[in-house]
Amino acid sequence: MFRSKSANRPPARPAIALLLAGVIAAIIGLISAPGTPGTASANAEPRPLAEGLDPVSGLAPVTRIVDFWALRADASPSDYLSRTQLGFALLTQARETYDLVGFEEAENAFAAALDRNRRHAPAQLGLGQAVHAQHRFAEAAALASSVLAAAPDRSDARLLLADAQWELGERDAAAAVYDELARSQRTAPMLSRLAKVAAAAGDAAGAVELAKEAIVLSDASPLRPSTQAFYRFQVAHFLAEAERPAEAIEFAEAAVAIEPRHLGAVELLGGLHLEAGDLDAAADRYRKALQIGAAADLHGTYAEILALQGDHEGAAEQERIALELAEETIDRFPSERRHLAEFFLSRDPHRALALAELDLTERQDPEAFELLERARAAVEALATPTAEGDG
Amino acid sequence: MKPFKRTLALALGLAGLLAGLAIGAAPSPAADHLEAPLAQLDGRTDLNDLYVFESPDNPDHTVLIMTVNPLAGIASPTTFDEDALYRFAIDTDADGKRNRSIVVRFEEPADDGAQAFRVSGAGGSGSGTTGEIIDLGSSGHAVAGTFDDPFFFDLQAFQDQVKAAGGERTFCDDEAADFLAGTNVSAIVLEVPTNRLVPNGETALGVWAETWNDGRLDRVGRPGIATVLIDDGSEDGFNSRSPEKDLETFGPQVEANLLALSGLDGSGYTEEEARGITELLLPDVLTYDTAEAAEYLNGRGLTDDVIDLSLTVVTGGLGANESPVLTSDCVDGNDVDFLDEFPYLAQAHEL
Repeated sequence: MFRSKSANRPPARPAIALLLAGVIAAIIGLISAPGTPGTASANAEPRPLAEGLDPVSGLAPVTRIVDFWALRADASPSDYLSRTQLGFALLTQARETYDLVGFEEAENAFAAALDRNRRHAPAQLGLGQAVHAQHRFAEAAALASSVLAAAPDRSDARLLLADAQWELGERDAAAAVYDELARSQRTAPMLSRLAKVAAAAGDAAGAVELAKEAIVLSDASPLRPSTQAFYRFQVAHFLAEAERPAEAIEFAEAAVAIEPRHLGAVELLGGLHLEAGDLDAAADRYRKALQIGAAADLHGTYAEILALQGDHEGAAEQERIALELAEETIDRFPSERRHLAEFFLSRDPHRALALAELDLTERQDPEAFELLERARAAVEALATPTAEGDG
Repeated sequence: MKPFKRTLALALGLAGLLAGLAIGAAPSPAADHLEAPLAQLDGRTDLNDLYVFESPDNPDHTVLIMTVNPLAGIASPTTFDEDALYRFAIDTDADGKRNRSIVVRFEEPADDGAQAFRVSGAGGSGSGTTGEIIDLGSSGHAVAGTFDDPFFFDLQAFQDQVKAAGGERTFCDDEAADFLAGTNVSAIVLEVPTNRLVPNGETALGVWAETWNDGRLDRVGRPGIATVLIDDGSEDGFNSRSPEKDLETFGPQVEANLLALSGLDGSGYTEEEARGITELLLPDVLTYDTAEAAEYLNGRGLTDDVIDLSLTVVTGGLGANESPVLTSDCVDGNDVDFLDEFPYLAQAHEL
């Protein structure tokens, strides 16, 4: 029986108990530690939930998570674990708010963690994500490679490297990694990548199906609302690419129902309504998008909608704001270059060409070459005399 | 259509899909928190700790507590998985096999996050909603919900000094601190008549907690076995098996790790000593003789400083020369007081 088996075990419990008693006595005598074990006299009802949590995901708002880790980091000079977690919280906050400065703050937090422990792989990978978000893809690849040198099988490092390779134009290599990882982990994040590969290969219907499967898989876990919304937005995006606007609207609306501040979904709805000729609905969505995140391209499109509606004064004002924002953004955030190149294509083709050339220096994906070609064509069109000009 | 911000939203969203569930990478394993890749996928089924002790209210009752959702609300949800089964497995004949069990199942969270749940098995049965104390019959009761994490531990010093993670912290340095201070977990707390757990006239039992969903996802008996003594990369395999074959399957790596950790100062365990301690620690079942005072390793109380004992054991304290490399993390207790009556755990911290 139980006791007889225990009795046969070599070091008996009394020896451990004596040892423990001695150790605890020594500690109590010598060390003053924060907090002491004890019991409280007052009873209290258990709380079903701490205050302020999202009831669906059971997670605190991201601002609270940022505060939580920042306080811990401040309290402990050597604490690289909290600084790493602060970096991840800042990354999430930046993604949810589209605040590009947030990626720089996340980068600083990860760098601070690595100052304290340069081998801490989560901080290296977090830093990789932060620089990837700022379109420094070669740096992201180098950080992932550094982690893989020490731990070749780390799937998160392989994924970060593949994501960077994808942007750098090494798409076959990236797709091979996605395929391999998806075979062992058929998860929503992996299916999202397979959908991206399918879309890039021109298989829009396949991309839609993979993205829909990602929703099913993701629904099994309590994700942040922004992540739940992302999976629906992703389907909407591929449906729009597949020229299935009615279905795209349905999925984009589902994303907005979960996370009303999902900028991608709100803007997509605006664009779909614009294409359908529903100017009022498009204007409404763009106004909402601008409340979430001001950006030159958003103001520019809103200006176009207002002009189509006959509100030329409003359109001019929006265009003025768009140009002002473009000037503010152009050197500050390299990750905006591609959007700004698109923005300037119809406004200032020379500037669009310069931006497209710069964009190509940081990522060499097919879209970069395609944008460059369009910018060159726009510049050439400027130089080509029109029939009216000849006249 | 012009692909302005939505392509940015797509790229940013996609690039963020590395960790999946919450924010960031897993902070690092502690006790049994976040110890294995599979466990890290979903905090709701990631077992942190198991406590088994005599009820302070009633000496004929035993309290069983399992915790999940490490850093609940921050790195994990505060809900339980409605598709999973949470089980206290009870071994009454010391063979590492389950003879009795208490099973807890949850329903989907309501709009306010509360979940209906049902307890069944050896401890009695009852149902209710998270946050409410429910009756299990025969004066037993249960509660499930969010509480302060009762575990206390200097996680970073452990990472740096024991796991050689690369930082400069050591136990008991100027920054000694409970990494889990101010954090919450989700807990299932039961208090049941002891005679429902063991056969008539018997007093000894072994307990482990486990989570299931199409197979065993995680299990824990004694604190830190999977985190400290099971090789990196083997944790999922360890968690997926019943404890009965622990010694046969994982004994060699536990023995090797004991030799390595105790030998950090050049005078470690002998192979015979390491084998003997391995046989004490495996199978990973929390043994408890209800006829004797509950104090880890006999059961585990909320205030037991299991880290100090574990450090002592794994770094050479039970050898002939009784010279452990480490004896304490200098974190001697929880950051907040425990309650002196059911459910014993301290209230959740407001986040």
